[in-house]
Amino acid sequence: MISITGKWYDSRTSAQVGAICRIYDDGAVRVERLENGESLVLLPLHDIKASTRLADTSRRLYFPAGEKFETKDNDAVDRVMNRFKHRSLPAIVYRLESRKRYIVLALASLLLFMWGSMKYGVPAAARLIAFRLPPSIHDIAGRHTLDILDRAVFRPSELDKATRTRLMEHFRPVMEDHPANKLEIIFRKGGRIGPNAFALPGGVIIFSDEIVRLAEHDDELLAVLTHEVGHIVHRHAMRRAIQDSLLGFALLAITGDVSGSSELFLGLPVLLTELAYSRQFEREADRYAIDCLCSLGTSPIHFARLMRRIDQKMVSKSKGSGKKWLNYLSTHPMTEERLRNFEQKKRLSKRYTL
Amino acid sequence: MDNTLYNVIYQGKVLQGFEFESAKQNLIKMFSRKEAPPTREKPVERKADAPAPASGIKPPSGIPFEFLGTGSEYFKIWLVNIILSIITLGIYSPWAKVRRKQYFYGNTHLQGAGFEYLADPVKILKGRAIVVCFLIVQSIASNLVPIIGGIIGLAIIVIFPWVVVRSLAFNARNSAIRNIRFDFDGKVGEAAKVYVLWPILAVLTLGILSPYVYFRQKKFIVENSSYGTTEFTFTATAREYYGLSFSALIPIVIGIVVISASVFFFPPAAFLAGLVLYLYFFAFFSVKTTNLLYNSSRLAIHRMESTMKIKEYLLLVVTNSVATALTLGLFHPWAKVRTLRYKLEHLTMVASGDLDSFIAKEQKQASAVGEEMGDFLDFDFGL
Repeated sequence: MISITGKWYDSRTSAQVGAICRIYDDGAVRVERLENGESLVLLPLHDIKASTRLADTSRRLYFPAGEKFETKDNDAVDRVMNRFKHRSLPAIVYRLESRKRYIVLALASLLLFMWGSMKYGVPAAARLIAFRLPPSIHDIAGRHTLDILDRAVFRPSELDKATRTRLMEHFRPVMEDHPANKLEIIFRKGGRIGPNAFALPGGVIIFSDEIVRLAEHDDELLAVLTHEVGHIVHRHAMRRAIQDSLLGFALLAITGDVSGSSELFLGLPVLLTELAYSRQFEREADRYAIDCLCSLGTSPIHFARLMRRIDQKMVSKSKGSGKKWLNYLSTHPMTEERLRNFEQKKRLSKRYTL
Repeated sequence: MDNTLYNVIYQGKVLQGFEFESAKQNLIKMFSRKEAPPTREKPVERKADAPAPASGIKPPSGIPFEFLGTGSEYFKIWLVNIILSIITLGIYSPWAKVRRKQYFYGNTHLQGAGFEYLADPVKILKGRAIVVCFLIVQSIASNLVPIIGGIIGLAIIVIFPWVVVRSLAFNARNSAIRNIRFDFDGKVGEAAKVYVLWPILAVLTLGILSPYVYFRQKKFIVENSSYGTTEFTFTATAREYYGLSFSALIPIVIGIVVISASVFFFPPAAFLAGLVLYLYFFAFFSVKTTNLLYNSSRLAIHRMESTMKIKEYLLLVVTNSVATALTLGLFHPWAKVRTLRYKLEHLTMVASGDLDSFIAKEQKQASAVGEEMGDFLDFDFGL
C-alpha cells in the first residue's frame, strides 16, 4: 500500500480538505480526511489517473466524479504510476528534463543549431527566397526605399550636366555587361551622409555628389560602381531585409514569447549578427568588383585610393567628437583589411602582365 | 441564516448508512438555500486576554501568493521544449507551450493550493494548423488577385474582436485552482468597442483618449471574468488611469531635456540616455498599471493587493536584460522566473473569511463550431 498526503477537492466547491490517499496493492483507492480518518471516496480497483510530472510542481490524481487530490509528494505518485505500469509520452519528456546528460546534450545541440542557423541557415534561406522573388517585388522595394531616402536625407543633385553625362558615358561598359539587372544610375546630394554610394533592390544605384567630387579619377567611381553592381547582382539589399525578419522570427521561436519585451537587450546579439552579415555582403561585393575591374582592364587600386581618401576625410571630421568608437559597430569590414585585397590584386595582375 | 440551520446543513454529522454529500444536498434543497455556505469562522476557544472579535466577522487577512519555481528548473524545461520543437519541425510546440504554462501555473501557490493549466495541446495544434493554412491561402490568393488580399485584411479586422473574446475565454476556462475553473464571457460587440472602435477614436484624438481606452480594456477583461460562479469586479476609474499617465509627464520632460542636452555635448551618451529612459518607462508603466489593476480587482468580498516598486523592478529588468544579452539569450529562463517571482511576491490576496466557499460553474459544452475554431487563438493579454 502506498499512502500519499495531500489536499482533497470535491468537484463543486473550492473547499480544501487535508487528506490521505491510500492506494492498495490490488489497485483499490481510498481517500480519507486527515483529521478524523472519515472516508471521502472509496473505489475498488480504480484505474488511477494522474497529471504528468513537471519538475516539482504539485501533482493531481483525478477521480471519476471530477474530484481531485493535489499532492506535493511527486515520488510517491511516481511509485504508484510505476506500480501500475502507466507510461506516457510526457513521462519521457520529464525524464529528458531531469537527467543531467540529456540536458548537456540538448544544450550542446541547441548551441550548435543556433550557430549553424546563424552562420549558414538564415543566409542560405534568405538567398533562396531573394532569388525566387519576382522582379516586381524588388522594384517596389527599391522605389519605396528611394522615396524614404529622398524625403529623409537626400537633396536633388547639384552636379552639372556635363559631369553627369561624362560619368554615364564612362560607366557604359559596366552597364552593357549587365543587361539583365536593369541598372539605373542616379545622383543625389548626400547631405549628412557624405561621400557614399548605395545599391537599392531592383537595380537603382545612387552616387552622392560628395563622392563624385572627392574622386580624382573617373576610374575610381567606376570601381565604386562595380562594387555596387556586385550588391545588386547578389541581391544583397533584399537578402538583408529577409535575413533580418528571419532572425527576429528565430528569436521569437527560441524564447517562446517576447511579450512585454523586458528583454530589450535580446536585440544586441541580433544586431551583432546583422553586422556580421553586412560585412560578409561587403566582402562579396568587393570580390565581384575586383573580378569585374580586372576583366574591364581597370586597376582595382582605384577603389582602394578613393576609399582611403573617404576614410581620411571621415577621420579628420570626427576627430575628438567621440564618433570613432562607432567603428566597432561598423557595417563594413575594416577598411585596411578590405583595401589590402584590392592592392594585392593589383600586384598579382601586374605579375601576370609581366 | 441562523446558527441552528447552519449547523444542520454544513456541520451536521450523518447517521450510519447515509452519504454525507447527498444528505447535505437534500437538506439544502429542503431549506431551499441556493447560495454557498456562508463564510464562517470555526469556533475557536478564546483566550482570556485575547481581544474579542467583532461580533463574528473575521477581519480580512492577507494571504500571500507564492512562487516556488527556480530558474535552473525552468531552464531544463525550456531547453527540452526547444529541442523537441526543432526536431519535430514545430509540431511539438503546442505541447511545449502547455508544459511551459503548466510549470508557471503549477508553481504559483495560494494557501497551499497550486494553479492548474488544463489546455489540450491537440486543440492548440489544430488551431495553429488552421492559422497556417489560412496564411498560406491568403498569400497565394492575394498574389493572384490583389483585391482578395484587401478583402481578407478587412475580414481580419472584423473577426478580431471575436478572436480576442475566444482567446480570453480559452485561457480562463483552462485555468483553475482548488478544482474550480475560471471563466470569461465577454460579448463580442463589447470587445469590438474596446479593441477596435475606442482605439480608432484614441488615434483620432491624438492619444488624449488612450488612458481611457486602456482603462476600458482592463475593465472589459476583469468584469467579464469569473472564478467558478463568482464574478470579478473592477473598482478603478478612468480618472486613476489619467492620473497615472500624468505622473509620467515630469520624467518624460526631464528625459527629453537630458537627451537633447547630451546630443549637443556627447552624442554616444544620448544613445545610452535613450536606453535608460526606455527601460525606466517600461518599469514605470509595468509597475503602475499592474499595481492599479490588482488593487482594483475584487472577487466577491475578497480583494488583492499588489505592492511592486518601480526602483526594484527597474533593477530587475536591467539586470535581466544585460544578462540575457551577454549570454546570447540563454539567461532567458532565469529572467522569466525572476520577473514572475518578483510580481507574485508582491501580490497578496486580502481575504475576508476563508476561500472554501466558491462554487463551480456547470461545464459548458464546447459544441459550437466557433468554439472549436476560437479555442486555438490563444493570445496572452498580460493579465
